[in-house]
Amino acid sequence: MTSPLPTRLRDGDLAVETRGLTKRFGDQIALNDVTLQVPVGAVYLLVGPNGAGKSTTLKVLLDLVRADQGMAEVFGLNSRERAPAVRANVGYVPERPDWGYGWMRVGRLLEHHASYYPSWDADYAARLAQKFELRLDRKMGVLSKGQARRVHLTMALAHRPPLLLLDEPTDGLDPLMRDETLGVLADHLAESQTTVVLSTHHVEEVERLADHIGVLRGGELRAQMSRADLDAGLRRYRVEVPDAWPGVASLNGKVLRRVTAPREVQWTVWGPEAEIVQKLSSAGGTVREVVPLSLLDATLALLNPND
Amino acid sequence: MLISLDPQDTRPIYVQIVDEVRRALVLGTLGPDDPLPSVRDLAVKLRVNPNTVSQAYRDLERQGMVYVRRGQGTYATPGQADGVERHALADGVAQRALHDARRNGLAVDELIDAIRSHNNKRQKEESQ
Amino acid sequence: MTSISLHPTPSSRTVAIEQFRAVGLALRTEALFFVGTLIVLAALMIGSTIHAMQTHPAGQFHAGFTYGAPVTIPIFLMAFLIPFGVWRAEDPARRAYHWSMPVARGPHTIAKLLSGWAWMMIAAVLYLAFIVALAAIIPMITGEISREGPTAGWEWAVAFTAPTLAYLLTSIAVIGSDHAWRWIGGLYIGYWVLIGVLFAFGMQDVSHTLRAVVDGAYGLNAALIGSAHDSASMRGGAVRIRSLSMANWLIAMPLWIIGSGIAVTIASYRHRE
Repeated sequence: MTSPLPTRLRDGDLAVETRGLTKRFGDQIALNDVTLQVPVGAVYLLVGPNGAGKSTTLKVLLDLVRADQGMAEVFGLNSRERAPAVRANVGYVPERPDWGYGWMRVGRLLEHHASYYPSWDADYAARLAQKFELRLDRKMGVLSKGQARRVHLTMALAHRPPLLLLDEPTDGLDPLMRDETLGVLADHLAESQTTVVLSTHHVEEVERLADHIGVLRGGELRAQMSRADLDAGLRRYRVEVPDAWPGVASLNGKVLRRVTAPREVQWTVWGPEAEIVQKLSSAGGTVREVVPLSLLDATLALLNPND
Repeated sequence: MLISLDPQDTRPIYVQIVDEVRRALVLGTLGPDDPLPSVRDLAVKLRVNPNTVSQAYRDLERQGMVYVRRGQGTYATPGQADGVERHALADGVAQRALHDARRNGLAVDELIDAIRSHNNKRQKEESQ
Repeated sequence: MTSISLHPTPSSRTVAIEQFRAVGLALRTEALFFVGTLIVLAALMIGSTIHAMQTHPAGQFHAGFTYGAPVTIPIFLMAFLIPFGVWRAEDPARRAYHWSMPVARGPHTIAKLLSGWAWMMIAAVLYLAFIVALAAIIPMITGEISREGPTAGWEWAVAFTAPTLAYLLTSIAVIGSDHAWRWIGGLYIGYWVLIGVLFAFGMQDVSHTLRAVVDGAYGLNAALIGSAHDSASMRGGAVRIRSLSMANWLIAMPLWIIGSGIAVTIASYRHRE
């Protein structure tokens, strides 16, 4: 019996839900039957290689892109039919740095943005601007990628939206500002009732913040689960094996990685630990080590299984 | 009390925080009735999800290491410096050492002998 | 989701006011250019009047001009260009920011369109005032009494309808396409190429019909300033007489404005990615 990777969460209130989301750009499949489930209050990490469909998914939620099939809902509101209501409750940090009017000064753009969100907290915006060292008098168009991103972060957080959609929020930031951003996010989470969907390549950075993970590859959701389930279910087994070992018929789980060396094999397996250890031992192997994986290693294994 | 997390540690974060607090209690850096940082402050400092910090604090409270004063925060329960928590700390260290030993193919006795001889060597160096 | 208190969308009034202010800010350079041009124009006209007075004996020349519909040509030429300033249309990413606001996309685009139009109308009022002042000042310098008759009422309205139409026409291209310049340039070049080709192959009637779109009784020029070419054909060619006709304008102007209004609304409500 093999347990496939979970792609559906257990029941609960969902902040974001998509069902069968499919989108093609020409003959490129961007999303293929994606069923995303983000529980209320979650910090959901969306991982995947470039072109996996992460940005497209976020854009569908905002009705910037329309799916060919399927539906998406944010807090029960249909993303297409109730688009303005959805957007009023979302803070978005887009992937591209040229967001907002290039000819406008930063300070003026913040004012402009504020008028669209009645829940804008001017004091919080000022504190964020200070934390991110924003230069309010500079024009948006002359900002570097990192500087622009900090403005976008301020714009997204200052109205304390119930949902944050962050597409590469630390991209282009220097190490100090990356760290500052993580602190700002932790602070924001403590102070506001918010759900976060976060897409980033820097998995190690958000390891301590994320409590759910969704793995997208080639437009498909390969796995979706809570960190608790991931921590409980994914293990790396290091096993000493005799020469000319015939192997093990089947492990009670989904094997993601298998690395073989003479007399030693390393498995990364999703499944019940006790049963897997038992199977390996009874097949003649000596289990030397069973460890959970870091989020980065888990992500790599989920993204690129080689067995 | 300083809490820091080891990036190499793959245990759940809330477990690490509980261990760090336990360590502080045993060492005395977190004294009896000393306040713990607020959930928010600790979350920001460690760049950790506040829910995880809350989980750790709840666990600490359940184990009796800390208590909550309504509206004021979380405080260290007095009398933690020795006894149960000290034992728990030692247990944790032993567990990690044994895990490492097994990984390197060493028997328990080999490990204990090595610890003793290494300790003797170090004591000799220090007394010189 | 009863546990989540959802945030409201902004009021239409707040959005309209903010768009008006933002578009005004976007058009600051154009405004400065506009005012600068008027100052230069006034200086040139007054200067040349004074110069002419010094070099010619009095009574031997007539300075000044009368307000008539053609005087609005500068303002509606500017109106053709204003949408580029309103939208600063270089890349779609800026548009995506506009689209990501918590308002319905179609009405939001219309709000920006109307904001630009409002500023355009303010410019038209200023231009009219400038022209009237200039037309009054120049005779005062020469000491003449203006001999011209009163201008027809509809020609005053042209100062507002012509820029409105010009603004709407360009807005169709700017809102509907990411490469407005290609559309406009292409249309212009295509028009003349087609005319030339038709003329070369002796298809005068089709060529004439095509030219009527611009020059005809209800063509673009009629809609703008009421001018139309009446062509009487003589042997070997056509004679063109340009005249102003209120009757043509009364029909052409609403036709063209409503038509372009519909087109720009369609362009605004189209969902694009």
